[in-house]
Amino acid sequence: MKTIQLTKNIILLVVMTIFIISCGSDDDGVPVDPEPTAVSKYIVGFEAFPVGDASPVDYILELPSIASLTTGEITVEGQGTPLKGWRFFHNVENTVFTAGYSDDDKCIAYELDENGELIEKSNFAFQSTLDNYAAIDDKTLLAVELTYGGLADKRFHIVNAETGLLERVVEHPIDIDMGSGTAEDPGSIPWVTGMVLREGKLFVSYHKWLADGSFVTPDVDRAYVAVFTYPEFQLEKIIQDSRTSPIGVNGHSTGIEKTENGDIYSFSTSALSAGFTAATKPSGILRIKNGATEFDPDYFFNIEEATSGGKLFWMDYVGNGKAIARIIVDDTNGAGEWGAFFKKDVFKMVVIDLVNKTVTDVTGVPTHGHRYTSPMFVEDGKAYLSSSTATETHIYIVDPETATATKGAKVLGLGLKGIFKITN
Amino acid sequence: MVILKQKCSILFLLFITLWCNGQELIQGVVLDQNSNPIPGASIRIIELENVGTTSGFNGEFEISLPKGLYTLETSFIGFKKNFYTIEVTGTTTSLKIILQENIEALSDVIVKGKTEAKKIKEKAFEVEVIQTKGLKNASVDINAILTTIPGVNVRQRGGLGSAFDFSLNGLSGKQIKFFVDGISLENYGSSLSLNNFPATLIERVEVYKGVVPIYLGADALGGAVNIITNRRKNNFLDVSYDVGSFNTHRATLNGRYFSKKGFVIQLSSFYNYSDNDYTIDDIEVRDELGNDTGERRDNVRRFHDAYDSQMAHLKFGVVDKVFADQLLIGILASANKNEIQHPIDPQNPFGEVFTKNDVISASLNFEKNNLFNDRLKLKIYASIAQNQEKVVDTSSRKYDWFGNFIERGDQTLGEFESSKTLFEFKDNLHLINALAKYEINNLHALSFNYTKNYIKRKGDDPARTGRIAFQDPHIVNKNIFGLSYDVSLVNSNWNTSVFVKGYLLNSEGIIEDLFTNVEEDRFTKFENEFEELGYGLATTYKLSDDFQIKGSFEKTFRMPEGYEVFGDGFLLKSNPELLPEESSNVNFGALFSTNKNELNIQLDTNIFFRESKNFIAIRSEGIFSRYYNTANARSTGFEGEIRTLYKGTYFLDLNATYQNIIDRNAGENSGIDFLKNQRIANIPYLFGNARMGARFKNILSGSDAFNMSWSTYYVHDYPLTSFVEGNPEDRDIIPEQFSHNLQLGYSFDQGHYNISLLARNITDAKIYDNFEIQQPGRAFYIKLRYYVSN
Repeated sequence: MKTIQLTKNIILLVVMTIFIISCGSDDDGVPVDPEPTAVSKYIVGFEAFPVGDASPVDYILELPSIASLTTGEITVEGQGTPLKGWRFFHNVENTVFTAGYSDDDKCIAYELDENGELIEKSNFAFQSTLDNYAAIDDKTLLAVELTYGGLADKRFHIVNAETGLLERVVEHPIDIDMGSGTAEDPGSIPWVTGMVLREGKLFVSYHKWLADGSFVTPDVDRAYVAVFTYPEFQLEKIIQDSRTSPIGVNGHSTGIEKTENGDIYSFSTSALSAGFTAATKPSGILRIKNGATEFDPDYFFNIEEATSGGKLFWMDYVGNGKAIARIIVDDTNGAGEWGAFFKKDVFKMVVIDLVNKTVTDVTGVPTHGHRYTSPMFVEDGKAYLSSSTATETHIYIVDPETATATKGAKVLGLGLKGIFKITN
Repeated sequence: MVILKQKCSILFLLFITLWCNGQELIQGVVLDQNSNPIPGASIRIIELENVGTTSGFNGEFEISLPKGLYTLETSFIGFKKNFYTIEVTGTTTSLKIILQENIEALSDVIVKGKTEAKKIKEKAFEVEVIQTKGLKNASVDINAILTTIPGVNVRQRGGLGSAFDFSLNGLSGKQIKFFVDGISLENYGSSLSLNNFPATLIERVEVYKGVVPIYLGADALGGAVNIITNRRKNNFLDVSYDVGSFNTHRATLNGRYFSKKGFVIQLSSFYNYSDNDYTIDDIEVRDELGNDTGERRDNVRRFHDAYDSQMAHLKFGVVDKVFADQLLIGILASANKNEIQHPIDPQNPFGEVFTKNDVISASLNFEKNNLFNDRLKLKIYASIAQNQEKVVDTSSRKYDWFGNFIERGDQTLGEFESSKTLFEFKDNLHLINALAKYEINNLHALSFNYTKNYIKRKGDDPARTGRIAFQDPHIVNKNIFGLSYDVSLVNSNWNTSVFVKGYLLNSEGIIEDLFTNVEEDRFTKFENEFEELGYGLATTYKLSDDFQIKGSFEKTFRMPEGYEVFGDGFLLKSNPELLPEESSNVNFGALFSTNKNELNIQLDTNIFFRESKNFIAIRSEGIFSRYYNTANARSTGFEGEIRTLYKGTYFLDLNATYQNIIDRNAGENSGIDFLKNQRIANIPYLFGNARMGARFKNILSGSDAFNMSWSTYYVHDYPLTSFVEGNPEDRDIIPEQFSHNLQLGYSFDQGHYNISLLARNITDAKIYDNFEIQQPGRAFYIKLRYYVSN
């Protein structure tokens, strides 16, 4: 009896399954819904004002159109997703990554689903902190884990931007001066400030910390870039140039950048208010020409000596040989205590013509502050940048051709860490 | 839970044979039927108008009368009035007046409502008193008891010994100060803390809400908690042992002996241990690279959360001598070791990091109560102590929740810190507390209190070669002066206390500037001084024997700690412009009690208001951080409590608290409307307790008792980051807590032997005090206690 009952049940199940499947195929034959049209949205990393004695909270927020950036107010009141702790934001094509800094050891990938809703695609956990990021091609996020203290290998994370998953970790020392193990000579460690992949070669710019946890920057008399073969991660050589100081600024990922013609430009800050404990060389820009793996000996742009110049805090390439940069107005303001990272009266914005070596003040942007900028958002040749004064934060839309800015949307928070446009 | 009978001790005889200076002087002592002294009882001569007195600290009183026949009417809340007829003949008369409790109701099933507790509650201050007599047999620590008080919320990170955040009417952390017997615990380490102090060692706990009497000398912005250890003047021995879930063991040994010559020796001690290996849910499963597989696992056991702590406090000296009522020398030693299972985010477990604390202290305690014709009372306490806190983080392993680990590439990394550490700091402390109270007459009294709290902190880290925090010692010298005037008017129905407090804080330290090339700029000596004057008022009026109203106000301060001003000499930078936190605290309350048809009801309500400024909070600046004055917060709320007892056997207690805490200047300077006056997130705002049960006497024998109680704890859900920001569906929420405990107790042989069973979180509910940090599930404890006294 039991067997008969079981057989009956199985038959019933099979019949039902066939029925359901055939119904399904019928539907396939008749296209009821038209193909969903592509939806694009603007995604921002939003740092909210702290409330009470809590630390500021970062949100990921979707905005429907470019008008949300140019007019009105950007707020997370009643919208946006709160995230854990202080975070970085980066994108590769249509994937936005956000990784925690100290309170969260997770890198989360977001995308738009077929309905155009922002969803979490996947996430991975890392060991300590991913400190520098680059979209090295349109499918790969490269993120490197650094540590302030030790002489150990640095860990490069190769992340598939289509899945949001970590695929491979490569450990490499980059450039380690092992020292002698004594307090006087503890060695030094590289701190990555930019990564560019060009024709199978990975260029990695960095500055150095003394490896004793003292946060002293040694070896400030020159700039250095490590050149690897990629994807093998064989260190080919370390190139250096003594016309300026180490490249990049802690936390920024645009220390070196590639232009349309394959040239790579770097910026060096030499600023004591931007984390460096010593500076002997001027703040300036170097070039590695397309095809070359050495600094171009014929190119150096001394920003401190240039008209409207000064010490660079941040620079990002915008196109047509031009970059937008923040220049420290007075390096003694917060020197030795990372003042440029948190003060609100520290920068002016400039357009730098890399080819013609000119610096032009951007009109329409007040003296401001802004700690962290993920790679700058550019649409129709114009850059969208969040900048804060002591009383308010706005998006400024900068036209590099005219060096003028218009004040865009007001940000009802501490600032935007990143602006991205993604499509489902 | 049996009334612990105490026989009349020789001490009371001493009071009776006190020196006297006139033939008309009547001396006496007021006792309850257990021979406990009743302080504060009022004694009135019926035949003479305006002649009367109040019994003192030890229940004793003196009164001068002309010759004649008089009737003394002695009364005290909770007791029947006593009428005693005496004839004053010209020789010294000594009296012993014994008051009978007037309500069966006030038996000790109700944890509050007993003599001393009730007396303190009826003071003008907004104070909650918990008499732990009924809880001494239960497997609880002080935090578990305090959580049941309206206005109080204690958020714990885990099991026994875990970190906690104590909040009182919306203020928390350093804004609330803790005391043991009136002595500040402020600079003592984590081994002398509320999360492991067993109830057995404690007589009662007083929680002062927002307005704090001067004898608790501290810069308590939001209130103070005073733990009173055993104050009874008798010989006793109290031993308990308690075992329960998660391999939890707790033992206490507590005792006192008086010799006939006035020598006394007493010991308080405890030992706690727990593996805290309860299971938690929703643990992410990741592949070897760290990618989220989407799988979540439940019932994952915590594996690195053990806690042990021990404390011994020995006091010896003399009592009731001509030169001192009490002169005691104390030696205290305590230590703990606490394994840290995870940081704020529980998804990333630790496997090896732990903290340690050692405290050793020596103290001197002097008390003299009958100077200047019994008008002046003097209490002086002085101690020196050394406190050592250590973090041991020497593993570079990265653990997962399933006990696996990998060795991290960078072997300088610690689990918790960014580099391995054996960081420790050593604090040398001095503490002085002196209290003088002068009774001008029966209705007016002046008190003066002085507290000095001195700390010298020095840091050390054998695991690091470079700069470390507190490498150069920091000194903080806090002096607090309090002066109060207490007046009793309208037949003692209107009692008022007016007080001022002076806060004086000096701190100094040397800070090394690592980044200067000019040698003379390298070391800077920092010195800082804060002076503030606080003041307050507490008043109460008894409209009838059953109904009392109260109001209190205090302008309070919390002085910045040394490291908040100077930094730690390493990555924490200095902010010499830091201002003290300040607050104006107001309470309005009413107490009501009634006793009809064998039903006793007590009602206690309070409306509170805290207007606070300059909250001190840490902000990061690049690799550095610094303390700043941040929020101006306003906390308004209501708390209410009802206690009922029927036929002296069945009880039901309920309380609830609602509070609204807002940040008055969120988004300041930004011209943003919606942020201003925004509710501060991550603080519970609606919570309450219910407790019901019964107590039966004389079940199997004439000297036993059985009790059972069911208690429920409720906290409404609240958001982690904001009440207004973020999509409501995407906000992180700390979910509603609803947990139940069941306790059964049996005592026999006049309370000498006690056994108690406790089932905590009996429904095995998933409860969270902090975002995503799961609390223990169902747990069982059994406690055995032996108590004997003379």
